[in-house]
Amino acid sequence: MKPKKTGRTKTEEIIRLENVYKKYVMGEIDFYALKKINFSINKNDFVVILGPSGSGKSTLLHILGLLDTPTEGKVYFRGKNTSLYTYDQLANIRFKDIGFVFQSFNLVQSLNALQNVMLPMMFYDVPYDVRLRKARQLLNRLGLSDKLYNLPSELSGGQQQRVSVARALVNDPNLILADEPTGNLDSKSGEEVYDILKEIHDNGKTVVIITHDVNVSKRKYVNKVIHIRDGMIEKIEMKK
Amino acid sequence: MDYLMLIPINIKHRSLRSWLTLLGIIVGVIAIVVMISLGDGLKHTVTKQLEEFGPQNIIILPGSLKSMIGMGAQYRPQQGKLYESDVDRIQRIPGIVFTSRMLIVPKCKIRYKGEEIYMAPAGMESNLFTSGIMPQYSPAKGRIFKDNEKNVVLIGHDFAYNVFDKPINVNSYIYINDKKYRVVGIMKKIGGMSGSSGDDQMIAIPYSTARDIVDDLGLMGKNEISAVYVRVADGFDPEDVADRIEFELRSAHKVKEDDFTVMTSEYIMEQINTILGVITIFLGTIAGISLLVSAVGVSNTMFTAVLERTKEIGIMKALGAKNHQILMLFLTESAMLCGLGGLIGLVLSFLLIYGFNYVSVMFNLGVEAIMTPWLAVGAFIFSLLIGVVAGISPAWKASKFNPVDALRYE
Ligand SMILES: Nc1ncnc2c1ncn2[C@@H]1O[C@H](COP(=O)(O)OP(=O)(O)O)[C@@H](O)[C@H]1O
Ligand SMILES: [Mg+2]
Repeated sequence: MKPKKTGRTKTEEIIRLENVYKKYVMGEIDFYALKKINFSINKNDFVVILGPSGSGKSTLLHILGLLDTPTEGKVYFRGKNTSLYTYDQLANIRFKDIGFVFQSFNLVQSLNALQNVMLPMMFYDVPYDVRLRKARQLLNRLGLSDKLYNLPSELSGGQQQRVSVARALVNDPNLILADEPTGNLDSKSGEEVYDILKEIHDNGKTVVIITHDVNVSKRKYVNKVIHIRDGMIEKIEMKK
Repeated sequence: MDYLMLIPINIKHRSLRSWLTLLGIIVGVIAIVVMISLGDGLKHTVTKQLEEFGPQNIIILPGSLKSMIGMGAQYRPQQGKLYESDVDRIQRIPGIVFTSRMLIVPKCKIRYKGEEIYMAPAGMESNLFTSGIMPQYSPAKGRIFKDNEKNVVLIGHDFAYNVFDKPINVNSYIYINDKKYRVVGIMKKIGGMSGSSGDDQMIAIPYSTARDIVDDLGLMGKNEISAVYVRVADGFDPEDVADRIEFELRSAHKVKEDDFTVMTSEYIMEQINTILGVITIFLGTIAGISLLVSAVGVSNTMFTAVLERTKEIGIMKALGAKNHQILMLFLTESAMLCGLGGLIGLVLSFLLIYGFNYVSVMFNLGVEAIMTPWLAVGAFIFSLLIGVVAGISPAWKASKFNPVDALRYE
């Protein structure tokens, strides 16, 4: 489906959560990691999800990334209820439309930088030369042209995170989800990652960053801050 | 299927332990391949020799081979004897063209131009040669002796040219137990798979001459003979004739257990199959056990690998890998690992068989193990299958990992 061309730019919804709960059963006790979550993310939003450790941020990000399913409530991805999708269809959406960046980079240790970036495309039979070209281009753009054949263990934290950003971007997804992407980096490397994320956003993509650092939410390109505490939304701050 | 290109990388990173579990597959494949190759080779040799022997031919030997070849505790060849009178009885059976007696003279001193050896000449009747039923047994030089000739000898090709320093020619004289014999004929080389046949070393004298020597020296009982050769007429079933012969001999010998053996082509083939059966059960058990142990071992290391790569599985799923792709990834890795074990086993089997055949030719064993391409392909596919079976459960487990839990796994 092509979006209708209209004169005004209409806000296009990417994902919407409706009354989402996530319950973990721990022995006798039911523990709610998320309670009554309601919000939506629109195209080209730059969202910060802010909250202390253990407040449920990662759980929320996994649900946003269609990696996890809520115990109650509904998740709409581009207007469709995701509970109607099969596992394989969800995997397909993750591949095409969602890029993950993790705090601990989550690179495959036995693969070099280039192979890590090509990895997602291997599961979708993207031809080898296309894989190679895309991965090379991105790594070059992120300043890793001389590290293509290095294993993760041979790279600094900042370099590893740039490889993982390249992997998240390689399929040109619309939604980038970053879970404390600078948590394991020094401030200079962290700043480089934010610069990249800002550039992605400038190119029209939707970015969601999880952090416990209030300063991140004060950056001028952030247009939505979701404050979360004990699994519940405290407030949603709209900027601009 | 491009993601399967990850497998070589994963296999390269496997632990030493997971390689050691392949030993069972290697041993199992060697046991199976060597067993079948040897069996095939043996069957080939025997079949070829039986073809030469001819389906219409029967050989009767004293003593029972049945109890010797039978398995287990009954290893006890039944002693027995054959007599000229037995042959007289047999000749009355319908469907027999002729019989030919053989009398081996044990341990004779044979001298030629000052050289002395000990051998056992065979007393034979000329009809065996002149009937034309065994065309490969014909003289290259000279002629076959006549049954009533005295002091004549017929020798095999190798006996003429290889046994003594100086070659023997037709009309040469050789001495058997210090008596002078004239060589009337030298046989054609019979050869065989390994280049030589035992019959190429034969030294044959007329039956009557052998009878005289044996009787003079008292080496055997009166009228006792070493073997009888029976030619069955075309159109008669050699098995039926053999049954009749057995019946006649039983009633003549009046013993509880047979003390003779009537060998037909079918009988020999049966005996060979019995021996092969025992070898097959023995090596098959070894192969089965080592393959089973190995399958369990491989399954174990696959579980370990799945656990070690929990986080990787979570990553791949987050990036869009589907459950069945994770399943295939581990299943194929298991199959390739075992396939590699199978290949190593095949290479070692090939070397073993090559070595065996080399030794076989060197020592004239007359048997060559045959490793057919189909056997190699079959063994390889079998080892792949073991990998698949061993990998099913771990791969299934990996494919069912919850990606979120897998990502949180440290
Ligand atoms: N699989 C699980 N089983 C039980 N509790 C869990 C599980 N995953 C997360 N939790 C709990 O849910 C809460 C939220 O976790 P998380 O989303 O990781 O928080 P954050 O990312 O904000 O630090 C924590 O108290 C955590 O212990
Ligand atoms: Mg977290």
